[in-house]
This record gives sequence, C-alpha cells and structure tokens, in this order.
Amino acid sequence: MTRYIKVGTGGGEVTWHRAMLDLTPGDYLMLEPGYYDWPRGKVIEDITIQGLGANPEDTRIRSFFRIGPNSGRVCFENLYLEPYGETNTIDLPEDANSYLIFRNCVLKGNNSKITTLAINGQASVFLFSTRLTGGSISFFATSSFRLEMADCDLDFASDDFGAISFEGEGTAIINNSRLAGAITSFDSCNIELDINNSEVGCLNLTGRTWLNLLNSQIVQPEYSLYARGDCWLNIVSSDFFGQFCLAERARVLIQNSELYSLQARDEARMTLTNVVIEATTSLEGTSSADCQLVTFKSNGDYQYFVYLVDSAQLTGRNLLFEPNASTALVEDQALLKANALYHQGQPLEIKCQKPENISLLGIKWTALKE
Amino acid sequence: MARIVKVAADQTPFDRAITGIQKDDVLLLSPGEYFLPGLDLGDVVLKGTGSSPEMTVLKGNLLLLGRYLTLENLTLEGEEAIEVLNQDNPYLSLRNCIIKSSQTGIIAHGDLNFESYSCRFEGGGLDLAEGGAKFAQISDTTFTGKTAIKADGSGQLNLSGVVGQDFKLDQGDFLLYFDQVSASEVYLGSSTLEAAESSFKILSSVRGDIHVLNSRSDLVQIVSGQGNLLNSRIDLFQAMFSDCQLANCHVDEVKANGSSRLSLIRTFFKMDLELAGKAQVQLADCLLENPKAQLTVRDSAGIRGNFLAEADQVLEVKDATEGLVKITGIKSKLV
Repeated sequence: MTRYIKVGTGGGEVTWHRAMLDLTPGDYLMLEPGYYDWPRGKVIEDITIQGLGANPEDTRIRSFFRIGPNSGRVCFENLYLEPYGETNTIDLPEDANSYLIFRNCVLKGNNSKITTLAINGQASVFLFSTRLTGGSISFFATSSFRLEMADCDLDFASDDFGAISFEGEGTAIINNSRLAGAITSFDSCNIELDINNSEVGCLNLTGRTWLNLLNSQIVQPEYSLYARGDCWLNIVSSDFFGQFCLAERARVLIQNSELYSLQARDEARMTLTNVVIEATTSLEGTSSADCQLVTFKSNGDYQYFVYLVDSAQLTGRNLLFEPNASTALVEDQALLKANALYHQGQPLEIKCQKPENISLLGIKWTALKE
Repeated sequence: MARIVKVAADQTPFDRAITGIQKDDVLLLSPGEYFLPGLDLGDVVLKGTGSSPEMTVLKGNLLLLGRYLTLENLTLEGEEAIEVLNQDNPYLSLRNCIIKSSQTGIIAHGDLNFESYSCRFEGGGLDLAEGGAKFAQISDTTFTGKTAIKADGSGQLNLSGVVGQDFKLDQGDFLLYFDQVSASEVYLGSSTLEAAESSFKILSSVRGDIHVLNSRSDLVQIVSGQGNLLNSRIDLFQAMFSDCQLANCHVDEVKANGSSRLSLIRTFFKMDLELAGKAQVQLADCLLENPKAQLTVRDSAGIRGNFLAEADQVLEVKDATEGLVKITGIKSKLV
C-alpha cells in the first residue's frame, strides 16, 4: 500500500529529516515548496517525490540520486533538481533495472561534461513536460534502455558534448520536443531513434543507429547531420538547416524534405523523393543517390552545385536543376544518369572529361572541359 | 538488407510488387490509388511518395500477419482499415498517415505494439480488443470519431499531443500516461492514469489510481483507488471510497461520501463542499473563491483544518453534527 507522506513544516506534516529516516520503498512524498537536500549516499528505490508548488521551481532538491538495485520505479513530479556540484543529478548504475519518470520537472546541469542523467543499467526513462538546462543525458555502453520524451526542452548547445548520447542498446522516442544541442550515437550503440514533430540542434550518428525522423527540423547552421557506420535513416517531411553528410555504409531514405547541402562519400546510399537541396550536392567514393523529383539548387556558396567524383553515381527521374549561373562537375568514373524536368534558361553546364558518363534526358546540357 | 521496391505504373506495378513481396521489403508507392482486397501483409514497409498522405490512397482492408507492418505518408480507407490477428507481439507503426474507416480504424486481437506519429483517424478509432498485452505510443495524432480508443487486456498507453473524444479503458488494466491530451471523456476501470497538461472528463475509476498535474477537467470521479491532483482546475470532484490529495487546485464543487478520505492543500473552492457517509476531509490553507460557497456535512462525515480567509468572509455550514466540523481561519455560520 502506498504511503502518502506530506513533508513540510506545517501541522500534520512530517519533516524532511524524519521522512528520510523513515523512507520505505513505495512511499509517495509530497513536498511543500522549499529547499531540500537529498542525503548524500542514500539510494532511492521505488519512491515518488512530488513538489506541491505552483510550478517546479517552487520545490528544489539538491541531489545526487543513485537508483538502488531493487528499484522498479522512481518518479519525480513538479520538482526542480540540481546537483551538489560536479556530480550527476541522477545515476542509474549497472546493477539497476528501473523505470525512471520525470513529469513537469526542471533538471539543472552544470554545463560541463558531467552528465546530468547517467544511465548505465537497464532503464525505462520517461520525460514529460520536463526541462533540462545546461545538462545532458547519457546512456552508457552497459545500458539497455527505452527513452520516451514528450513536450520537453533540452538546452545544452555544447560543441564538445551531446545533449543526449547513446552508447548502449535500446529505443529512444522523442516527441513534440526541442533539443538545442546534439543527439549523438557512438560506435558501440545499437539503437532505434524515433524523432517526431521536434526541433533538434544536430544529429551525429554512427554505430548501428536506425533513425526515423518525421516532421522535424534540424537547425544547427554548420552541420545538421553526420551519419556513418551502419546507420539506416528514414526521413520524412523534415528540414535540415546545415550540411547533411553521409559516410561509410550509411543508408538513407528521405522524402518531402529540404536540405541545405548533401555530401556523401564512401559507400553511402541514398533514395531521395521530393527533396530540395539548396546549396550543393557532392558525391564521392562509391556513394550513390537514386532521386525522384529532387531539386538541385545553387545559392553561390559552393563552386559546383552538383559535384560527382570517384565512382559516385547520381541517377533518377524528374529532376529539377536550378544552377543560378553555377556549373556541375562530373569527374573520374562518376556517373550522372537521369531525366530532368526543368532547368533555368541556358543549357546546363557540366564540367567533365568523359561526356559518355553523363546521360541527361529532357534538358539541354553542354560539356565544359578544362 | 532490405530491398527498396519502387511501385508505379511504369516501374513495378502494385500487383507484381505484392505478389513478389519479400520479408523486410520497403515499397515506395507513387501517388495514386491502390486496391487491397483483404490483403495479408507483414514484415514490410509501405511508404507513399507523394508530398502529402492524401496523394497515395490504399483502399480496402489490411490484415497484419507477421512481425511488423509500417505505413508512412499514405491514406488507408476501409471498413476496418487494419486488422491485427492474434499472434506473438506484432508491431504496427503509422507515420504521417490518414486512416479512414466506416467502422474501426484499427482492430487488434491479442498482443500489439502500436505506434502512431502525426496521424489522423477519421471515422473509427483504435480498438485494442480481446485481451492480450498492448503497448501504444501515440503522438501528435487526432481521432475525429466518437470513440478514439477502446482497449481491453493490459499494458501501457503513452499519449502525447492527442485529440479525441471518448477513451474507453474500463475493460482493461492499463497504465496510461497522458501529456497534452484533449479528450471528452475518459472511462477508467482498474487502469491507472498519470496525466499532465491535459483536458478531459474522467468518468469513473473502479480500483485504479489517478495522478493529474496542470490539467483541466469538467469532472473527476474516483470510485475507489487513490487520487492525486496538483495545479489543476476541476469543475466537480467526486470521491466515493477513495483516498485523494488535491494541492493548488481550483475546484468548483467537491463531493465526498462512502469512506473517502480527502486531503485538500491550498485548494480554491468556488461553490460547494458536500460530505456524506463516513467521508473525512483534512484542509490546509484552503481559500474560498466565492463568498456564497456552502459546506454540507451529513451522516458521520467530518472535516477539519484551516482556511485562509478575509475578515468578512463567512462559510455557511449545513446539516452538520456537532463536533464533526473543526475549521479555523474563517467565520462559519450554521444554517
């Protein structure tokens, strides 16, 4: 039976100190607004802590929560959690296997490499209507996890560390949220990452990452996405404000989306449908792109608006070219085979040594030689 | 490695793609209409390649028979658009889809792992029937029909950014997480609801618990189980045999009877507080929003605690037995 315990200094309430001494798994602590310190070294198991303030900032706990090995469910609600200093706020160690739920909370990080929420064991982590300021979430190599986020705001725009980092195995579902920093996966990971209706700083993916991205914006201007390893990306109706880069064996299905630029090398393979590429498209190595209703534009930022070298292949149908006085380049063994619907006025200029590697039907084009 | 099969009249026709379908195929369907005469499908991905889901329409009923089925960016029209047969824990994922049905959008017999992202159900909703374990992740999805979700069995339903009318979960035993959900009525049986920033009417709860945060509700009725409501606005709160805590809530009317125990912390009352049976209420720093609010205490019900009131505020107390009303901080008048 759950014990509802009102903690405060009013009549009929128990003190925080007493509540800590008597704490029993299953307790539901209801904290009057104020400042509290979670005792250092005390593990937390099967406890719900709820702040009774009008907003999370009213009830603050200075904390280093360590989830105990016998815990099944730990829940924080309407609370502001801040670390003691250079520590995690919450640590779920390797031997733990627990639900970890945050609802309407604010988690303050310390703007450093020390992760706010450190997951090493098995965990189902739920974050609803929660803000994480200056802190990050890390799923380490030993973790096996499920992460669900809805209506959350993560504000950790660091050049060095990801806002959310994945090294272990599991599924992460991010809905209706905003992440100012990077989502990073590592070589050792094996994850499914579903992002829906959200705004993310950038995606830095590798290992075995299976991404489903829907109705989202990736907003970092320098680069939006870098995928390598054995990533499989399925992207629908999303916009990338910076570079979209693929390497190694990354494979991409992308449709109804806008990219600032597309750069692929190694063995990357792409299938693009109804996509607009604003600045340049660059394929190197043995990378290939199969395109349908794709618009290749130039905005003047790059010398070539289509750049195919090595053994890269660009094939497709119903392509649109908007070179804006820029030229394309097809060199080495690279192939361009497609039919085009439209380009602007003058014949499309393609710099190439082997015109036989180009088959472009539906528009006029001219070969430029050095 | 998954095959990518482009389906179009001048590429691979739909009939041929379906006949020669292999496990883990990804079918890219060109805009158009495709007819499905009760097609069994499983272990495939169907993606419409139009610029919106309305451009690729599948007509008929789909039968999920396999480990998984994923539909993306398309419209599915049928009486029962998708039927999931009783099998071992299949996955059904919908992304950016419209499900139009005259009866039920999706009916699942037995186990199901269901995902719906940025979808719209027109007509029928989701029927998780006939027991089994059900796990659903529904986000940014609208149900336009009368019954959005009907569920039997047990499991966990996570809803965020969902709009619908009736959610009938009275036959099952579920853990429900609602975030930014707008519902007309939520029928709870022994399910547990944890809700935040939502708007709904919770009609009844047999045994399950209700935890509500930052929400709006016309009616919260807790028959048994436990309730915990925080920072919410409720027109009528009704407790029968339950233990409930309300903190920082605005409540027009509170009714408690049976053996209910209520703890009301910094709660604003607009209208009446009506207690009967053996209900016991503990007040802490409560406020009256309406000077005409009345307290009615019948049978052996009792109330104690304090109000924070202005000097001229008077609380009218009706039917009270002496000794069962101990209120401080406000003038009271026995009517």
